[in-house]
Amino acid sequence: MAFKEIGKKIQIAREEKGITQIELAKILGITQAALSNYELGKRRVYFHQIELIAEHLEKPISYFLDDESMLEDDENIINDEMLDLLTSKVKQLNRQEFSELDQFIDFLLWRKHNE
Amino acid sequence: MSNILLPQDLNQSLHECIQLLDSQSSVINNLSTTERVLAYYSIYCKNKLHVLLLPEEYGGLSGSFSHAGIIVETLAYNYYNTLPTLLTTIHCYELIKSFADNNKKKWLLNAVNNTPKPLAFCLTEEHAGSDITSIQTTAIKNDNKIIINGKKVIVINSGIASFYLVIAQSSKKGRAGLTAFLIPETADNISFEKLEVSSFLHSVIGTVTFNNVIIDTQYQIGDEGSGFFLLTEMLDKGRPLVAACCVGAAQHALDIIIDHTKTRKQFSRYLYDFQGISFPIAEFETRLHAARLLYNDACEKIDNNEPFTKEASMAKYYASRLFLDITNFGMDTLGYRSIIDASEMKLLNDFAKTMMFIDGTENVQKMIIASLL
Repeated sequence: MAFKEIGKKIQIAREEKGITQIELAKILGITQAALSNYELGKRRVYFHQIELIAEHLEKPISYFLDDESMLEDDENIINDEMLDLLTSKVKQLNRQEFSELDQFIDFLLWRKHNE
Repeated sequence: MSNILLPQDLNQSLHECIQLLDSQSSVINNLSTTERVLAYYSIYCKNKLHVLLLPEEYGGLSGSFSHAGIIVETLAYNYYNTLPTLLTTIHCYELIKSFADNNKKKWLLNAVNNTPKPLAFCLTEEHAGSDITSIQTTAIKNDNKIIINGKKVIVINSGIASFYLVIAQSSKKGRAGLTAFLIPETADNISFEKLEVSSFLHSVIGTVTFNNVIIDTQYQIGDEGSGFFLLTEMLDKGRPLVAACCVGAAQHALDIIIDHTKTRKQFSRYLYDFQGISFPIAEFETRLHAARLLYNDACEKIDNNEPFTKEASMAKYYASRLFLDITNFGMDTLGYRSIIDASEMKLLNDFAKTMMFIDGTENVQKMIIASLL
């Protein structure tokens, strides 16, 4: 059902915005349990609620409806948070270590294209 | 009947409406299909039942869904075949009322209210039924205009409506591209084809084709891409009223069965004295009571702004299945009387078969219920 995917989108947008379920629930005037059920797709999101959610998470309504196959497989999602974390680690490397990491990434890409 | 009482003004509208229906139906039934549908609809309009859910400021009766359920059930008892026209119009008004931007809501509602004709809802396409993401009708924005192209099928009020509420794909494909538009009948390049659907005796059903139909952007309802939410919510809200219609008509069918089985003797006993007859009737009476409670519950949840989707699907699934079961039993019990042309039980049975898939098939209702567990 679409509402499971819509719920997943709400969760991703909320995490991107860096706010907790409790914080967003408070903004929306609902309980944290209700928001959790929206994110899990166990409760139907009505129009006036998605309007509020979209406004507070700064997304167009259509964002929550986009069909993206990546949503079906959490393991394939590399979000901004993960990239930021990796960048902060890379910055701690010296030139030699960075060069080794670069070669390793090249190897991963080569493997991916030759699988 | 439900235990919920109607406010005095709604009660008066309903009873004046029934008086008009009772006094005029024998004349109206001799008219052509289109004339018949418009004549019945004009009686509903006279009593403002087409706008019973609209607030007074928009010319409506300010009725709640709970009130609407009782009114629909009461009318369905004798006039079930006239209700698809009315219910479709009520659904469309509800969508405009709930989702049009505040600054154009009054303008749109005035526009649709100033005509004696019903409204039509254009959703289903040849390749898009239960799966609305397959809709192929397009709405392309060009400056301040929108160009609509596509063909809708099984449209109730096709060719007789003043406005057509159309769900089309705008910029994107799939769910995210669905947008709602209100298209006036006066727009150029709309064509209609009537379909013969005998089960809906007092309805006009047909296809509606939009071939480069150009409308102003002010006829768009809600934001671009918001159509999925509008549509699913509108269908959800419509289901308890469809269920109420099934309950009213099913009660009529059951009353015919009870009357027949208590007056007809076979093997020196009334049919009703055979447990093979009276026990299923007892089961149906129980299920009818449950069906009434289910639609009442869903209506109350809508009125109280509580989640209602699951309850609405339960009400529709249960009531439409029960309606069909009762009329199938009626066809058996009444024997040859039920197959004679224009037999009330045959009309009820045909109507029940069609009601099974109005506002979503039985499997669609189960899919919705299961998804919310």
